[in-house]
Amino acid sequence: MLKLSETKKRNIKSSEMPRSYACDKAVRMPMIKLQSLEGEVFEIDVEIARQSVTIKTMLEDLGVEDDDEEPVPLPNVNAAILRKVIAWCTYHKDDPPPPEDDENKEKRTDDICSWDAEFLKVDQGTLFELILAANYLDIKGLLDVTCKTVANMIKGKSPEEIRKTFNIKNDFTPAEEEQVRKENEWCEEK
Amino acid sequence: MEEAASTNEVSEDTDDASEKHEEEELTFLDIPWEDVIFKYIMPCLPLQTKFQMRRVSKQCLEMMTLYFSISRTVNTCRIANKMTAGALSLMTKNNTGLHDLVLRNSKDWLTDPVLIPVLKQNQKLQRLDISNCSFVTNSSLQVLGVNCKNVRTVCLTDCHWVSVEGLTVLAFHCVNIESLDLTGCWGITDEAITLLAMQCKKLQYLSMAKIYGLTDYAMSILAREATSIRHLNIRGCWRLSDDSIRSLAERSRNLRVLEVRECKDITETALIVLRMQGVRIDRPQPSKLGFGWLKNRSKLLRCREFNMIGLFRK
Repeated sequence: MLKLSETKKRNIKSSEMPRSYACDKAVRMPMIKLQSLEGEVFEIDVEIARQSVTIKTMLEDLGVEDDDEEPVPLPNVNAAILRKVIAWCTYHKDDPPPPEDDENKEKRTDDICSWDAEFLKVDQGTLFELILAANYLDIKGLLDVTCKTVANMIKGKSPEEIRKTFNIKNDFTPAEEEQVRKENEWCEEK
Repeated sequence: MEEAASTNEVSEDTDDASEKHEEEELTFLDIPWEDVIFKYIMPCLPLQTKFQMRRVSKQCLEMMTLYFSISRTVNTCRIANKMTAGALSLMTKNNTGLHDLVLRNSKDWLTDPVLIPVLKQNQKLQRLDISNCSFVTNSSLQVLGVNCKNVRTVCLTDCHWVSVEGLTVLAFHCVNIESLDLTGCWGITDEAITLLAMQCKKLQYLSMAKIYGLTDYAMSILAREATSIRHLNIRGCWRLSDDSIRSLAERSRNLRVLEVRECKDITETALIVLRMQGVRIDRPQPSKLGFGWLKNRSKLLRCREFNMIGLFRK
């Protein structure tokens, strides 16, 4: 039996292909290979990968074909995070496109589905890595839900509580701190 | 001694690895500020929380200062009663790119000296809402008109201080206005509405509810000149009669919604024409109109004028 790469090189039509291959091709999902920072390769369904606008653009603009032997390199994403991103995209593959946000309204953060909430029960480092990966790969739904998770960690907290949450050092001098505190007086709880 | 040296080396290596791990571990402030924090996290936080972020650290203060300076929207409605002039000045002092400025109900603290600098430095402003801001004056409207020529939406609900002069400057300079809410602006007269109609040819939404001085004359000019209007609110304009409705029926080809409650001299005889043209009216249609309506209906159907209007609107 000819290998697919051979059939493509020789420009052989599918009708001329050995029958068993032709049947095989009809049911086979187009796949794409993604390579993480460490060189680990993940093969996934192209439609799942296309949730990433970055990958989708590569497929369209650079003419990366389905079933290419060469993986798409993603040097900004390590294997552990890429694995998680793929898991999220697989679960959400049938989601409708997210609606446009109204810039004038405060976005709600109480609408994270239970699967996502469980998926994002990770340490802060992993959460922030997922945000960076979702930004690099341009996956709006994942970026949305990870950022809402971070927003929920900030909402309603005092400056000291925010510092503790994110391990941020208070580097104001007493005079600077007093100045900013006065500017903020209007929003202190009374 | 050599073993101790090698143990120290191992210990130093372990310390180096853990330090490297700590250095490499991402922190909140490592997240891209403009691409991610401003676009995806800040919109989820209430204004008070954004101000609290300023107090966390110097870098957070720097981040929030940058955020306020490049925000396209300032909306203080939810906390209008807690806001202060100082807080608004902090948010807007370095911003020259505002599109939306929504300060509704800021009646205790918003004055011309606070608002005018913001209008002067934000020439790209597209939406201003100062509804129920009692201490602003027509000086602010004049600055808005002269500086923000591309403004599209202006809400002045219950701004009783709005005068003919203020509205005239606005209408003269801001010809791209698409939505104007003058509900409760009692000081407006026919003269101002007439000028508005002649200048603002892109007007789609206009509320003149409770402008008690409005007459059929101004409505006839409005119907003739402001043919782009799709939604008109004239609730409580008690001087208006069926003449106004006839003017609209004849001329306002794009009208889709009309609000006429509390206009006691506007009757169903005139409104029926607009209903038949597909205009939605807030006053419910009487269910039993009786034979009198049938007589009028056949008159209307024979009327040449009515046929010129056209029975069906798109």
